[in-house]
Amino acid sequence: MFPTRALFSRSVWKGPNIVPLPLPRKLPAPPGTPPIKTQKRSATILPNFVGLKFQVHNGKIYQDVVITEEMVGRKLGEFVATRKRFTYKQSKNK
Amino acid sequence: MVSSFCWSCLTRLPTAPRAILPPTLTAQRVAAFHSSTPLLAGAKKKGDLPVAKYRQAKSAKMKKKKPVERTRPPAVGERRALRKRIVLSNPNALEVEDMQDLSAENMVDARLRGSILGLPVPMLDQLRAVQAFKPKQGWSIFRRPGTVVRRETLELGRLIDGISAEEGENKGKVVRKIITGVKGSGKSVHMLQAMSMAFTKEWVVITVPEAQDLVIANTAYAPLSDENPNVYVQNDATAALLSRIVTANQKVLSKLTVSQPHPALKTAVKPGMTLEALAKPGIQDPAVAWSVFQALWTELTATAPAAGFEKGFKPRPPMLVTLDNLAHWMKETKYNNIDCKPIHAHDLVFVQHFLSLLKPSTEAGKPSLPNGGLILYATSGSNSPTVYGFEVALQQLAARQAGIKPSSPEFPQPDPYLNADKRVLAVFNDSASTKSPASKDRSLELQTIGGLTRDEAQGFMEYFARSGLLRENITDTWVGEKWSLAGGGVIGELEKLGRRLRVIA
Amino acid sequence: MVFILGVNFPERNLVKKSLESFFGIGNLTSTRLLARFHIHPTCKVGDLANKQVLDITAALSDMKIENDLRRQYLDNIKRLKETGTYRGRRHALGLPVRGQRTRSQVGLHPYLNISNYDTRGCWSTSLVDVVVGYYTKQEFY
Repeated sequence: MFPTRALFSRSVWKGPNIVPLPLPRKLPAPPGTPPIKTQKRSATILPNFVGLKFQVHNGKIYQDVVITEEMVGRKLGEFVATRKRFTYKQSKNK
Repeated sequence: MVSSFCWSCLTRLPTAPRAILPPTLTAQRVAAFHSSTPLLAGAKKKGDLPVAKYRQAKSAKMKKKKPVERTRPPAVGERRALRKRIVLSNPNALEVEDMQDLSAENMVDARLRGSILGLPVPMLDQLRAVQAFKPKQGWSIFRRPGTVVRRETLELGRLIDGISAEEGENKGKVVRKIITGVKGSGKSVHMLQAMSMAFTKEWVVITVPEAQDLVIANTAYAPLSDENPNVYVQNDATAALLSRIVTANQKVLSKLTVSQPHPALKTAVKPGMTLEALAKPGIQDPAVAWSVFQALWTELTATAPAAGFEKGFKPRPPMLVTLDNLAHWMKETKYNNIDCKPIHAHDLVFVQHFLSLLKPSTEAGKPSLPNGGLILYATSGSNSPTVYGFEVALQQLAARQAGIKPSSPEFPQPDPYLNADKRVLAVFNDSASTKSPASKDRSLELQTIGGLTRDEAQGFMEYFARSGLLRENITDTWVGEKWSLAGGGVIGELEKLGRRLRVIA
Repeated sequence: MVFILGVNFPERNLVKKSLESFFGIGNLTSTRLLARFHIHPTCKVGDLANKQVLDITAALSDMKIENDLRRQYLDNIKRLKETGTYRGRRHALGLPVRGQRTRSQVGLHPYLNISNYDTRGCWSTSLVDVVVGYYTKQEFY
């Protein structure tokens, strides 16, 4: 039995997508460490990321994400929306 | 103008509303320009169907739907009973005067070949009890049930007569036959004939009218015991079997008394008890049905009384065991075992018992039917699964019967790529290997039932004519034509021809 | 009437269908259960022996079915929402979760998303509500 494919849309034999990220030398990071700015939205969150602060690109700006334990195994991009919510705007020239 | 008569049934059709019929010639002559006036004029009469109205306001309000009256569904089991109903007589058919009844004398009479022997009326209840009749066998078109005496019937009669004779070379012999043949060739009726002959000779008749019923997972099943959990017992089916045996053979069983101790039944068995009384508790309580059946079987196969049971011991009569649609027992059933894998039919203790009769001796080395008898297992042409192993086994059986040695290259071997079921092959193989020449048992035979001969077919068609179903002159050429139409005298096809002619005539 | 796991079943019902009436038991599970207790598939509830009824009830009470299973589904979705994942957000919005298009034909998603699983009881009425809601509400999404 495989875990559900929706969870792993990626082939199982490849393993998680491990991307080299500029992690701080010392873990857990001492307070005052700057957040890690990255565009690697598809990077899998590894257990040693927990507690770190990332700035993940949403296509326009870098948004802050604090990694908690529940996020392990998911991708960085999952927590940063790339789209704006649709709102209906009253048009001026009726 | 369209005629209002229907040419096929010559009844008057209901007059259609005029509005939808094309205007008739006369109507057109009256009003050449407008067609509405004559139409309306026609519709004026009271009671006529309303004419479609044009250009009238119609309210958009939808009418409330009336609740549809539903008739009550038929009671549980009613439709099944109707489907399985067996009608044995047709009061509209003519009585055939000089038709003889089957009896001990005429069942070996070769002069009767090609004629119809009626089944004795008192025996019909017994035959119904063992479910010898099938719903689609066409008993319902004749005044009373009767069967054709054909070559196979006479052979069968001689065999049964020989086995139950006081002396002779066939006395107490066991004959085992697998009956095959094309669809409608009369395999089931052949078994019915065997049953009726066995009833006249006061044998014990044990039947399984439909092998399929035991393997399609329609009756309850349970592991036989804690010791052998991979063998399954079907209590309800066994109780039904016991009830068939007891109702059909009541005359014989009530004369025989218990002759063996039955530790499995404990206190229920007393010396001097009849076998009928022995079997009764198994019918009432399916939980003990299997042990009761085993006890009954040991009684029927007993050759001498055990110590303490000598009083009133009578020798046991020969047995007729029949089974229809054997192929269903040669594959996996619809039952599941505890791991949800299908159970093989040979793991059902009921099936095991009846298949073990095909071998001359039981595992313990005792003969399987020491009092003699006949074992007829038929295949079916209409509803039978294709089981490769079974087909090969039958071919091997035929080859062995033709005298081909199993070691010779002509002997049919299963194709190794087709996965023939080993257990199926083993059922039919052992009977040859363990056969001892001294034994009075014949080894397993394969009997193929074909068509009737021309003479027999003529007798059969004359029976139709004399029953008033056929208005033809039964001549040789006419019978020859029908004989070939019926695939060389296949009796089921002949019967269909006889019925169809009735409609045309 | 026979009690199986606190539910009363009429005796004429099939055992298999009765088992499948529990949330979380389908064809496969019910077939396995029947095989485990040697019940043939056409068996009626009335034909069950007392021991078999007790066995089935015991087996069912060990399984995660009915409200336990529903709660698990809801918990899973709740977890997604609380973690702030994309899937959780889509569930919360009542929009398709697995990347389907939303330009057209999203009418059923609020209904089919398990986010409002507890409202899901009867197909017909809720379906009508959703579809009507889709056409009446201006800013449906």
